[in-house]
Formats: sequence, structure tokens, C-alpha cells
Amino acid sequence: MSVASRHIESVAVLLAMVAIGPIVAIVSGDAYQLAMFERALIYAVAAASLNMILGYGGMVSFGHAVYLGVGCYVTGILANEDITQLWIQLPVVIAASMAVALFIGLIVLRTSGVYFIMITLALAQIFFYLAVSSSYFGGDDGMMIYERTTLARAYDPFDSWQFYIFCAVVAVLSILFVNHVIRSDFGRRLVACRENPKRATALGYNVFAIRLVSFVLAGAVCGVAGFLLANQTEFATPGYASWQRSGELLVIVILGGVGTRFGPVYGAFAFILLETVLAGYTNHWPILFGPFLILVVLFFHQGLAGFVDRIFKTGARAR
Amino acid sequence: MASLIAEQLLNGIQLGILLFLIAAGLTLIFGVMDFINLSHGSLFMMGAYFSVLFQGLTGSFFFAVGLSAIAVFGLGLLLEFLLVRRLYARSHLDHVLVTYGLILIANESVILIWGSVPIFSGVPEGLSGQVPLPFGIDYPAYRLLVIAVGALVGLGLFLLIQKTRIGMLVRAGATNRTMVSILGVNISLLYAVVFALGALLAGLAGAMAGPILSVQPGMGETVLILSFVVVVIGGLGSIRGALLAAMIVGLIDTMGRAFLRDLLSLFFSPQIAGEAGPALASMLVYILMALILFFRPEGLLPLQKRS
Repeated sequence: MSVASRHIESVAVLLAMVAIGPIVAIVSGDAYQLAMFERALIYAVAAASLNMILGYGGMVSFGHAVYLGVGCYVTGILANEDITQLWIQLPVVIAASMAVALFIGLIVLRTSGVYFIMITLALAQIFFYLAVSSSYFGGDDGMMIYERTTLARAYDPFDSWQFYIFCAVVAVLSILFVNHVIRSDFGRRLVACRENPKRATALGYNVFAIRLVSFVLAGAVCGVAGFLLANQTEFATPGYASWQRSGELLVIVILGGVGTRFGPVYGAFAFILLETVLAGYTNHWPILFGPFLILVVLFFHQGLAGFVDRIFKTGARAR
Repeated sequence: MASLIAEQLLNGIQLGILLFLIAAGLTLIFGVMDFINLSHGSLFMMGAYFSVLFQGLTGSFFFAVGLSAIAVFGLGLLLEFLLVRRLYARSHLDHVLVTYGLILIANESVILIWGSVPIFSGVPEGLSGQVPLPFGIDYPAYRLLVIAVGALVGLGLFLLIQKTRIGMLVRAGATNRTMVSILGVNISLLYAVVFALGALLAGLAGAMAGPILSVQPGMGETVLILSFVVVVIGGLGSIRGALLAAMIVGLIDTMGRAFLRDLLSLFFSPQIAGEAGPALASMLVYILMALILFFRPEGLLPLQKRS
């Protein structure tokens, strides 16, 4: 498949996913339905960033929700200080999440395998406890965010439709960015480092630096997801950075298909849909979701992207 | 002041002992099977709940602790046989996800059966008092018992691993898994025993921790993450490392929570100390871990691996 048609395919898949929300909202006549799909898009961005380091870099990060928390708190703190302009908020969010990712990356990338999993988890706890014990920012109870991000005078962030479009544009651009990185020369080098670090080193690549750059980029993109989440929920809580949230992100990536370009998007939509359906069925939905997850891991290893591929035979898998 | 410090030291040792019981299982399971078990904390939680259940049935605290350790041992065997066994050959990511699913199931089942309200299982009668120790310290009898039992179990574990045949196989398995299976050892039986032994230790720790912590859904996760820190600091697969690290983590966490605020108020205003003290105290262990790993990525007492 040529480069141009790949780009067209990317955009087409993402536009199709973005269109689901409005269709449901129009059919049901209820603009509040959009909120669910905003959540799905935000999760898709976070999962896409995790997929970049997990699926292509081979780094199993169990602390990825930290950047969700960082993005969310930074946005909230700025907004409550009356700094709501997009062109100030977004760079600050990206810089903050990159800084945190650099700190974590410098420590965890010295290790690998199980160490990597456990240490990303433990380091993420530092930031979780920081949020829990910062009474100035609401501590355990979280922090209300009173203003959504402003863009131009014509844009009303509290209008359901306008906000959905804002959310969708930021999400699609972020996911396209991730896909662009994956397809770039840099992305190829990242895969080379996953496949055989020794050989990559012998070829003259600096494996540590390549991994660190991808780790920091993934943190930045996930921070953008946190920025959207702050706007969408108008709330920041330590729960966004909890290890359960990190676990959910891993689940989404697996559900969608590890190391596939659109897996995280499919995974996020499937996860949100499943959560909504199961939670509507019973309050104790994790007891149904747990076995489902185990079955998915045991028997459905290609994820939804592999499933979609087999149906359409498009061969979109990047491996 | 001196007696306060001594009391907190004992509290730290007691937390360290509990952490050691959990981390020992975790590190053994990792060392021998290369399996990362997130649901180890759930086994700890099940130990605590079983203890509450059996206490209601038998009326005796000590019976209940013993029974619940055995029950969690059985649960571990069942889990290994039905599920974990299928995962040894899979990637670590799969281990993480499946055992994450197990955590969801365990927490939700506990909520369905016992409700989500914390249960306070009281300290058994006869142990609710204080024991006078040398240097004029009074210390709760029950906590002292926990330290003693934990130390005994730790010693037993040490003897089991250093002196018995099964311990020899465990050590061999941790050093070179492939070679052990080539030598004709029934490796699947060995794996099941190690997994269940780890479950037993976690269940015992949970049952004993019941009267100290509040028994509630999700209690296993906090402990699990702390045990990860212990395992990582000590060096994966190393029991001696786990013991050393558990003591360090237990002491630092307890001392930090008890004295950090006062220590900071010597240098900063009370307001800053009051805000930063508790925050820093809960992060202290993780910061320590980050520091140790930065200088010794393999942990303090790493295992010599050959494979």
C-alpha cells in the first residue's frame, strides 16, 4: 500500500470513529450521549501513546496513567488561575508531562522486563500520593475545574456540540501524530530496539536514547489526553493517576491489539461501550469484566484490530 | 521521646515482617517461575477475610488464623492448576493482565459476600493489653506476637529452603530453570508447590494483619505495591534480599510517618512542615527505591542467574 493511501486510510478510520458519537446523539436526540464518546476518544489518545512504547518499543509501562493525572491537574490549576487560553495551556501541559516522563524514564529505562513493570508502577505511586496529600489542590477529594479551555471568541466550550468537535479535533491530531512517529524512521529504529537491542547497538543506534525519546513523547501525548479529560469532566482527582487507571489503559491496548495502528482506538471504544453496558446491568460489573479480560488474554490475542483486519483483509497491521 | 522512638522502631519491624511474608512469596514465585503475580495482594486480602469468617465459626482467633492460611494455600493450588499454569510460557504483559483481572474478581466477590464496609476484627482477648519491655517501654502484646510469629515463619522458610530437598529444588529452579527440568524433576509439581507456598505466606500475613489494619476490599493493593518495592529493592528472586528490603521499607515508612513532620518543622515553618511532612512520608519509600535503583539497578542482594 502506498504512503498516500495509508494516510487516507488513517484519516478515514479516525473520521469513522469520530462520527459514531454524533450519529448516536442525533438518532437518540440526546446531545448528552456525546460525553460518552468524548471519553472514548480521550482514552483512545492515552492508549495510543501507551501503544507506541508498549507495542512498538516493547516497554510494558504500568504507570502510564500518571501523565493523564499530570495533564489533568496542570490544566485544572491553570484554568482556576483564569489562564484558559489553549495556546498557553497546551504547551504547559506538554512540557509538564514531558518533564515527569523524563524523570521516570531516566530511572526505569536502566532496567527491563519485570523490573520495568514494577518500577513504573511504583514511581507512578509517587505522583499519586503527591496528588492525594496536596491539600491545596483538594487532596483526596479532587479539585473542581471551573473554566474550560478557550480558543477563540466564536467557540463556546460549554456547548455540547462545539466541545465535542474540539475534543475530536485534538484527539484525532494526537493519534495522527502518534501514528506519524510510529511510521517515521524513528519508529523503525524503536522497533529495531525492541526486536534486538544488541544488534541495534551494533548498527550504531543509541538504544537508551531512542527508548527515552519515545517514552517522553508518549508521556506528552498522554498528557494531552489528560488535558482533554480535565476539560471533559471539569474535575481533577488523584484517581486519574491511580494504578487501576494504568491497568485500564493496558487493558484497552490489549483489547484493541498490541502494536497495531488503530488498535488503541478500537480498544477504547470497545472498553467504554463494555463498561457502560455492564455498569448498566449491574453495579458489580468488574466481576463480569475480570473473567472477560482473562478470556481475552488467553484466547483473543490479536485484539480487535486483528479481528477487523481479518474481516476487511486490508493488511493494515504495521508489523 | 526515647520510648516513643523505640515503640515506632518496633512498629517498623512489625510492618517489615508482614511485608517480608508477602514479598517472600512474590519473589519466590518470580524467581522460580518467572511469573509476575499482581493478585498476590488479593491472596493477602482473602487471608484477612477468611480469618474473620473462621473466627465467627470457630470462636478461636488462633484456629482462625491457621485455618485461613490453609484455605489460602488451597486457593493458591486451585488458582495455579486452573489458570496460572497456562501462563508460564506467555509474556509478562499477559501475566499482568490476567492477574489484574483476578484482582477485579477478588475485590468484587469480597464486596458481594461481605459488603464494602471495612470490618474491624478485634484483637483476640488476652492479647489486647500492653507488655512492659526493658527500658520502660510498653508495647501492645498482639503486635509483639505478630513480630514473633513472623520471625518464626521466616526462620522456618529459611530452613525449608536451605536444608530440605524441596528447598534445594526451589533454589535450583531459581538459578537455572531449564537445567532443573532437564534433570527430570517434576517441574509442574514444583511450580504448584511454590505458588501455593507463596499463597500460604500471603494468607497468613493477611490473617495476622486483620486486627491491625481494617479488613476491606482493595486492602491487598496497597500492600502489593509496597511488596513490589521490597522485591525490587531486595533483588528479584532473592529471599535474603526480600528480608533486608522489607525491614528497610518497614522502618523507613513507619519512622517517616511518625517523625518526618517534626523533623521538618525544625527547619521550616509549621505550616510547610504540616503540609510537606505527611506528603513526603507517603512518598519516602518510593523515593528510596528510585535512589537505590539509580545506583544499583539489580537491587541490593541480587540473585546469581544462569539460564
